[in-house]
Amino acid sequence: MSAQRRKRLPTDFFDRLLSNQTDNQINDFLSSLVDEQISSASEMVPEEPPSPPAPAIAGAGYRKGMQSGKIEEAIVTRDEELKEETPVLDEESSWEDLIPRTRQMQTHEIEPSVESPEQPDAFQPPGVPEPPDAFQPPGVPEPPEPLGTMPPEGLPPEVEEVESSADQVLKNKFLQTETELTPPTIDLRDQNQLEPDVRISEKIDAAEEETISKIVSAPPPGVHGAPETPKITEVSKLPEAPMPPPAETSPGIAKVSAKAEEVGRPEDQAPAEPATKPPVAPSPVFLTQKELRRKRMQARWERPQRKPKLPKMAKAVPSITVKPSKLALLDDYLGARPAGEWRKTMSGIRRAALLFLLPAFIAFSLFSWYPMLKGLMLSFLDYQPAGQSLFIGIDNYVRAFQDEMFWGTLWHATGFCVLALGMGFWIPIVLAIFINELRWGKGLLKFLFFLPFLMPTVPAAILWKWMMDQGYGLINALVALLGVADPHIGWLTNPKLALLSLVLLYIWKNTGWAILIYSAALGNIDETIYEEAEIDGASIWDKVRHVTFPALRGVIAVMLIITIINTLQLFTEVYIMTNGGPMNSTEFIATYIYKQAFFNMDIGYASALSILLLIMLLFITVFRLRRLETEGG
Amino acid sequence: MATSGLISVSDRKRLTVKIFFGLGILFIILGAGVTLVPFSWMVASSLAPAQAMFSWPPRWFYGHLDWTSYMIAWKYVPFATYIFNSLIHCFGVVASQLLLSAMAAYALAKLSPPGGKLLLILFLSTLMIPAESLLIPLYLVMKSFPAQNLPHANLISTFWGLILPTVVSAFNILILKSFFGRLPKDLIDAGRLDGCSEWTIFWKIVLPISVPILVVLGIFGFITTWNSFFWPLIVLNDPKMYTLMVGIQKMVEGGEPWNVVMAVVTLTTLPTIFLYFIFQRYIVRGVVFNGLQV
Repeated sequence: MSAQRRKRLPTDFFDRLLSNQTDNQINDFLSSLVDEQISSASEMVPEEPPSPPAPAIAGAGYRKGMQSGKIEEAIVTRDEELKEETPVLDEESSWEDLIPRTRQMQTHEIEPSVESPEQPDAFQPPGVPEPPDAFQPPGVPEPPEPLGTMPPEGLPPEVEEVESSADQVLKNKFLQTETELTPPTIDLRDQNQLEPDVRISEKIDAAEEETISKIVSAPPPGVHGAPETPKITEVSKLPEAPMPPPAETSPGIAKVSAKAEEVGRPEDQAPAEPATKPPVAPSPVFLTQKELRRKRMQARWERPQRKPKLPKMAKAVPSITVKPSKLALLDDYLGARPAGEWRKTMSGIRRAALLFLLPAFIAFSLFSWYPMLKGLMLSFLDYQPAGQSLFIGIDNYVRAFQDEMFWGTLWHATGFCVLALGMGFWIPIVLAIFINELRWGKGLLKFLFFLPFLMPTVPAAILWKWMMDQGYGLINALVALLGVADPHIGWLTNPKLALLSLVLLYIWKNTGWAILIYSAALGNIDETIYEEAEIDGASIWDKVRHVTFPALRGVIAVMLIITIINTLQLFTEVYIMTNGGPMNSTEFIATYIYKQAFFNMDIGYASALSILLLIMLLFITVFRLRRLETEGG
Repeated sequence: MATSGLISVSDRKRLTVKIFFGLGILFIILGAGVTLVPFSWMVASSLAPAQAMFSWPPRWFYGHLDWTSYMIAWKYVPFATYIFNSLIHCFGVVASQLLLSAMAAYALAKLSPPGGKLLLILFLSTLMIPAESLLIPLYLVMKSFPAQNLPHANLISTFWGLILPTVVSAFNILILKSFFGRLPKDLIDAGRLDGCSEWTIFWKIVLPISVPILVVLGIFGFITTWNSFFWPLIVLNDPKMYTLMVGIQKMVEGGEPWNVVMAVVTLTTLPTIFLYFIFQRYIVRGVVFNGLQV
């Protein structure tokens, strides 16, 4: 367990450093901000994610076909919709499948009746067939194609078995009506092999498909809901699973169905997308350049030289050109994009990420890391601003440990800490508990106590310097009110009192802040716990001891550590009020560093002191992390 | 008020509890008084006539309000210059901090750059370095800044030297990263879909959504910068470049009479309290958040 933890430390380290037991609050804070914004984000974002509209339109298209009474069209539409799923699935299947697949497809198209003896892919599972659109020159007008023939032929055998006889009748009817069209033959063996392939690719991209199914597979509900003819509903039930459309599907079907539907339906565009980019071009993500070139050559070699023969036009069905809509890009983005394109996009994003990080990186390296290293370096030098600096090893550190003043600063920091905690630590806790019990005026009181924290440190220190003025200060006047005759206490000039005066300022300034934090922690206590304790007969003191304090324990620990860290870093108050005096009785390490560096011009020594300060703070941080680990574990 | 709390309704009827509670209220009033006395003393002193600064015992009110200290503060102390410098300092720091931190945080949260985790750790490691440890080397860096193209290679007593060290904040990166991490990816994908470049997505989609958190961080950046003292004290040697905090400290060192000093202190305190009234909700949340974080 501990070994694991130690292993985890590097990644967890800073999270832990910056979070504590009251993570819930932080999370609530952040998530509340997010939620607030997300709800309003939809209006602010230029374009909404178009996923919702797509299925609606698709379903509408189908329904439209139903309403117009064109059953055939409706069926075609449905089949078309199914077909359209395939390119999306297809996208994820590796592109290696693509080449043999396309080749196979083309052979089918060229010589539909030939058994395709030279196909090398008997052992290689042909992937889902690419939509034939891919091979059409983009500008060519779409030929209408054998409409009714397609659906029954295209279904894989398993599915065909399931089909009810009624559907068979319907489909046969289609076959008969459009006699002029010659149905292309299918290699059933290949079709059988299609099934598993599709399933595999389906599995691979479960995540991707989830989003796609939102867009594409919405029609089924619409189809189920359509009660027009029982036959049709049965048909629609059949292809519940994403079905591979037959390789022989001619491109026109997409266009035909497009006619029935609204312009701008996204799925129509998906198959058409590759048309601009021949499928040989894409570069696979995982192939080396060499392999890629070989594949490409191979594909080119094996590609049939003849232009694919286009199926005859069915005169009854006029072709419609669908404008590419923006929505079509969704499919493109979500997967229908050739692998190479995708890769390009990814690398673009990564490049953008690096550019985004660059300024921060430069700033940090120039103003944090480099100075840190430089400071470390300086601490080993006898630094001469004008002349040659001498490397003196750890002499500066040795000097620091022999320096009484250095130990003095630590001693003063300890004294300050003890005084601040002893005098001021319990005040905000008690105040917070009492304020929390008030019936009214909570907000006002918190604001009053919070005011000193709002005041910048410099004016606050100046104000207190004036109040503690030996001659005419307010505090001495208040002391006089207590009956002391002519008290001119040197709050800041008496070495015994100076530290105490600094502590007073510190307490005054930070109490309100601590109250806010303690009240936030108190607000997190579930009131029912108090009720339960009451029922169990607990007195108020019991409740404070066993409910309130345990709830505050984490925050109290944090505040303790904050006090210690603040004490070590104390500068402004000291610099303004006493500047280390009188008789160095309030010298703190930060003021000492400042004096060494900018008055004694002993930069090497000051750097060594800075490093020591850094080490002390790191030590406290690590100690705190250890504590968090033991508590959190 | 909640129906039940630490002290239940039935508890409140008991005499001892009543006394105890009364003592607590007394304690609160006492504390509030101690908290407020310095403020009232500050205002009273700034409105007192100059000769009252040397009267014993001091009084709260000298018969009439004397506004001359404010006049002097405005006229003879280059107060306007100080405020101008402070404002430039604040806006420079806040703008750059928000922009650079948001950019870095967005990239770390959503763009998954190579080596992002390492970078984040490197960034956050700067949080553990106390500012005091960096002062000396930073001063030396600013004295001979390694950019030859800038008009001054010596950035001491310039706004560049003042602003640059705090131009990006690891704390902001941390907060913003966890904020951006919660944004739905669809939002960004929607932008990509519409052909936005990554920068457009960041500028037109991500930043507008993050306005509240940016406001919080901006307010805190502003207050921190407004209050900052140590670095400006070191890097600014030219009295014309003093920020407000350094300026009033130098004023006190220069031996201005206390009523003028108190007028300046009052004027210096007002902006933050004013800010608090505007952004009260954010500030309280942020302070609590900050306190629980550190």
